[in-house]
Amino acid sequence: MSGTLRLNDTTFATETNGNITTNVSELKINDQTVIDSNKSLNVSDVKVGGNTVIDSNRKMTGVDIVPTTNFTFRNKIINGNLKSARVINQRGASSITGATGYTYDRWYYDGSTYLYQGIEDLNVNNGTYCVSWVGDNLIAHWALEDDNDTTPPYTAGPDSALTWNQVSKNSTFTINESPEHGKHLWIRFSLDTNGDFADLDKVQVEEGTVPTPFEHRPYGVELSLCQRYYEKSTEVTEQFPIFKAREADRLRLGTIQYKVTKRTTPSIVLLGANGDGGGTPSAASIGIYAFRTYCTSTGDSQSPFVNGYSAEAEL
Amino acid sequence: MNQEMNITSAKYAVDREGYNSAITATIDGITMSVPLDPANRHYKEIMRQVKAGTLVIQPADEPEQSEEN
Repeated sequence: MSGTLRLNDTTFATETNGNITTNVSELKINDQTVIDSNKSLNVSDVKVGGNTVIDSNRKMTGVDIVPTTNFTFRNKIINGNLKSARVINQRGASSITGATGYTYDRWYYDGSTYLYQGIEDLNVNNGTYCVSWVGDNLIAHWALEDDNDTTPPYTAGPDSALTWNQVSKNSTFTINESPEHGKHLWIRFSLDTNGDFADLDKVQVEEGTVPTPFEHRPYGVELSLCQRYYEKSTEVTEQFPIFKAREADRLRLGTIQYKVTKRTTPSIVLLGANGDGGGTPSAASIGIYAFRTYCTSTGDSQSPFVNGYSAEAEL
Repeated sequence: MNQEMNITSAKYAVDREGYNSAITATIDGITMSVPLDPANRHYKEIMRQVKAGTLVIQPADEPEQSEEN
């Protein structure tokens, strides 16, 4: 059933199956335009229930906002502000493609074709994700990785054999897994004919259906997020090492706490480890919170020391 | 393969009780202590190469008997 509302022989609105379509170009109340021909609301303030919720200065007050996605920590990508001077680069890579392996924090370059970042399973929920970035001539894919392999052969890191799905800039994909958690989400970029990884910037993967402005988190927060996967101490001098011991014919032990708790048990590199002629210090009792360094000297006067460390728990 | 690593040496390290607690490995030219954790990517790659028959993990040296203070 359909109908027409006419005033003074002019069609004001039509109705079809319950949908009303108005044909007016402007809506006026008491000779004041309320909605203009550009479909813009032309009022000084907006009231709900007699209370102003948007005032004439476009300030919203007295409103309960229930978002469908997070307001903060929207971006699942860590260290996505790639062209900024604030990009986090604890390894000191010359560029994001300056070496094969992890270069800028959280970014892995395979040495030829792909640039990857893995989002760990604990931060991946079922739902729709929107991918956005700055830069042209770049191609993005996503894939899920089940990291529950408990027997060899394992697969370390981004797996080319995963099912990779292409996703366009500012477009979405949906994850619907059962169980919900337990899979890492990988994002990778490759280049088309004219592409250059150096153009990639402001990478964002967020829950929701529309891209929002790149989320600039405080630098210290971003650094901490990176350090869940990799951290490196300053390599100090022998005069002021992070570990040094001198004790006759004893096992020398020291415990080093990480700055940030690690994703999983990390690999430890000791910097400047020196046994002073005896056993060289090594890492032991490695955990996600701390590790120990120890050695057994062979002489009373030996003073073994360690000048620094790195701890790595990347995907 | 994926994160291909050049592993030139791998040797178990033992804790004070004599149990294997880590692998001391040289990976891409860097010597590191790799925990026996399947979620650690270096351990994954070591075990993948062991399974493929391209790497053998050497047994640990006998633990030294020292008294801890």
